[in-house]
Amino acid sequence: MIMLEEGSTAGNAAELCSLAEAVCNGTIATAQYERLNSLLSADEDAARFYATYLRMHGLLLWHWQDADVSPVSRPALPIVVETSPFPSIQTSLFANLVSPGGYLFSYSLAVFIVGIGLLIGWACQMPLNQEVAVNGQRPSASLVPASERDAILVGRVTGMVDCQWADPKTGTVLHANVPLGRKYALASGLLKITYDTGARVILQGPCTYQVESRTGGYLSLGRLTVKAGGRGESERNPTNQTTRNDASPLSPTPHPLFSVRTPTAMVTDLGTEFGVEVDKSGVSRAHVYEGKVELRAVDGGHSKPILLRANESARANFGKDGVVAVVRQAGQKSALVREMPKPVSIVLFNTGVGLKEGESDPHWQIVARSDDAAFKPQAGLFRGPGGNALENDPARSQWLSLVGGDAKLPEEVVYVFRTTFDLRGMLPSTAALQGRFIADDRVVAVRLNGRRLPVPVQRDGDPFIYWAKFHVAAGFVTGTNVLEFDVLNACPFTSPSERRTAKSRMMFRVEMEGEACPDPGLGRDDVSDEASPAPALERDKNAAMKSKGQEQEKTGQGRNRTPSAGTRSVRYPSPVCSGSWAWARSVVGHSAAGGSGRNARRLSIDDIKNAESQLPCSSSLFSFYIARITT
Amino acid sequence: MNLPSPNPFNELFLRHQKDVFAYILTLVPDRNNAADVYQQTCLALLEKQAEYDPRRTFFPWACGFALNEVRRFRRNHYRERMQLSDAVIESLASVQSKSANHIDGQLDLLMGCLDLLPVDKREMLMQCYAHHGGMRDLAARLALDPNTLYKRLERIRGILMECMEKAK
Repeated sequence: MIMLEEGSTAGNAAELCSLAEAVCNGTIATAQYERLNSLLSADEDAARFYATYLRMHGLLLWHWQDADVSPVSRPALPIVVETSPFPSIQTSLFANLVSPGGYLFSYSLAVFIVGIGLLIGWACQMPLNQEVAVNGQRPSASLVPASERDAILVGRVTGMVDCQWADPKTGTVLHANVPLGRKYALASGLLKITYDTGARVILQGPCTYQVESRTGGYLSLGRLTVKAGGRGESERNPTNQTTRNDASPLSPTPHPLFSVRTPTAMVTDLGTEFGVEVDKSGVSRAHVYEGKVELRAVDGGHSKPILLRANESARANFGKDGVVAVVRQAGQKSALVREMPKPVSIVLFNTGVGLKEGESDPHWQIVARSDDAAFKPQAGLFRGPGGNALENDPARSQWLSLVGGDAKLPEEVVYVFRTTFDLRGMLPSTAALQGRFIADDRVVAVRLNGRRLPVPVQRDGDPFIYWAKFHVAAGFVTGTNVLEFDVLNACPFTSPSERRTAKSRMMFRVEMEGEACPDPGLGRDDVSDEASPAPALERDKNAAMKSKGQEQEKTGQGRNRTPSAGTRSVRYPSPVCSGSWAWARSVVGHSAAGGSGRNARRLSIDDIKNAESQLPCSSSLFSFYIARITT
Repeated sequence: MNLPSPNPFNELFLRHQKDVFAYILTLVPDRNNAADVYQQTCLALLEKQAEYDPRRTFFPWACGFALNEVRRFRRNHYRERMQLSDAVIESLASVQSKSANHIDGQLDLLMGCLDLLPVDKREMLMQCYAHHGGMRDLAARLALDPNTLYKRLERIRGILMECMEKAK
């Protein structure tokens, strides 16, 4: 274990832990750096510990740099567990320190060690009352929440779509363990649990379900479907009462037949796929898709169970005297979800695809300009890029403008580019969109359905070759969605006296893709989408003007041509095409950084072409790069 | 789209780029500076790919370039006072070179440990790393006192360190 070992003092360990944290958080002060230097230069173990700590920090940074933290896209948090289930750093440190041959051991400072161990406990804020993991044991058992650590795990959450929780404390995340006794209260959406036995249960919100055994659960409200796995029908004996009716709630004993208990019935799988539905009055309905199930009223075993075969249904409800009666029904009353929906691509439109000179884009409109209140929306026109802008790529995206040819437009004006896309038949809460854009001169606002999105960092304009990446994970609505980009045409080199009359080139280009899960049509009447009407033109103009003002205030009417910390872009893998884009950005991003000591010309064209040929994704960046170094 | 056959060098690079970045971050703690050095390192690796001997382990070879770029960066930014000393940089590089051959799978290990974290802790950690502003901003967003946030992050990273060490 890489912890501080012989040659280190435990007091230093606590301090080093604290300093490493300050480095990770970016809060380290000059004096702390000096102390860190002192500690690391004096002790190789300390250096090893620090390197391990920072390497983990680097991997986390890499992993989450582009993560979406929009609260809309995530489920509610479950119960907060305060105790750390893992053995503490100081526990391990203690073990290392007192090992034979250890530095402190050899000096017989056992009492000192105990005291220092307590100090580290304070410094690292790790609880002391923790177990020491057995060597070779997987960490999983120790890292689950305390409430679930000692529980019997019976499966995992293997699918979630659009989950909203009726009780946030019952919320979960994908791939989470499913312990015995766990309850899930869905307000809407779909949750798939795969039991260790192979049985797959899809809960369909609104629904309340509790895992009662390794092979079953209690459905108090809502709908679910079960696809039983594991043993075949031949191994199952429906007449074996001990296997069907011994399902004491929360029993850890494996139950050979998968059963769903409801307030009025017990539905037992006999090698099949079936659905169960419970309404607010407790009335239960079962429908068999394949194979057979046994439906038994929960009446103390007085009534006779009935056997349902494929495409047969039955209902268990309370009679007038309060006795549960089971009756066959014809057909299935309501739609049950048998498969989790898989994400499908959203039809999105890159700018200018396939257009030629003089043609306009049917999918992109310029709907407003800040200097003309009477402006009428018009389609974006194909625009040749000119010498200092990224070459058009007809198959992927091209520049659009309000005017074609070499015509110029007034400066200090914001132009609003708009496209729409349709999410009919999809779940807006599962939608995600990502892409990249370039603008001449720059994008000052991005809106989805009228809602402002963060404007990504854009490199200084001229030359207009640098993409800015954007990602949207929230704010989608059912049906037509409106995406807008406010493009500011402003040249910092124009003198203030000339700005009112100055004109220059204005154009915009975007590439994007997105996915969403199809709506299984569950009648989510209790779920309100973030529906908002398409933004009105007047509001567009106001937003555009406001953006313009903010932008100019921010840039001080000037454009800083020297890369600075504020203009640094993130250069980590994109989830679209992670590895290859990282590779592309590693190379091309260098030229974009500019003035960094190395010149792009140091790369041979063959090198670049070779790299380009390896890219499984779009290589337009490389194409441009090649064009640039050959001119 | 027809995909060309993969170039072994590119494959290795793509596999180890995260490790190279993490290595650089141990030597250049500021994440923006580390990103710059990483970029320079990638360039250097691309330039020198013809010199790569496939019989050699890629990551230690790449670390050599990264270390050179770190040194170059430090020379160019010698005015920045908040840095690790030259001696410490060499010491950190040295201890890491001894374990450079066993770097594979660390991210997977870390992901496994993250999966096992309680949801609230994982969420907080993700917020921390995905947040592009300062920690104080993040603390305000999470309605936490900054010191509370620091302590919680310290505890979570401590748990992950333990987990990764045990899972090795």
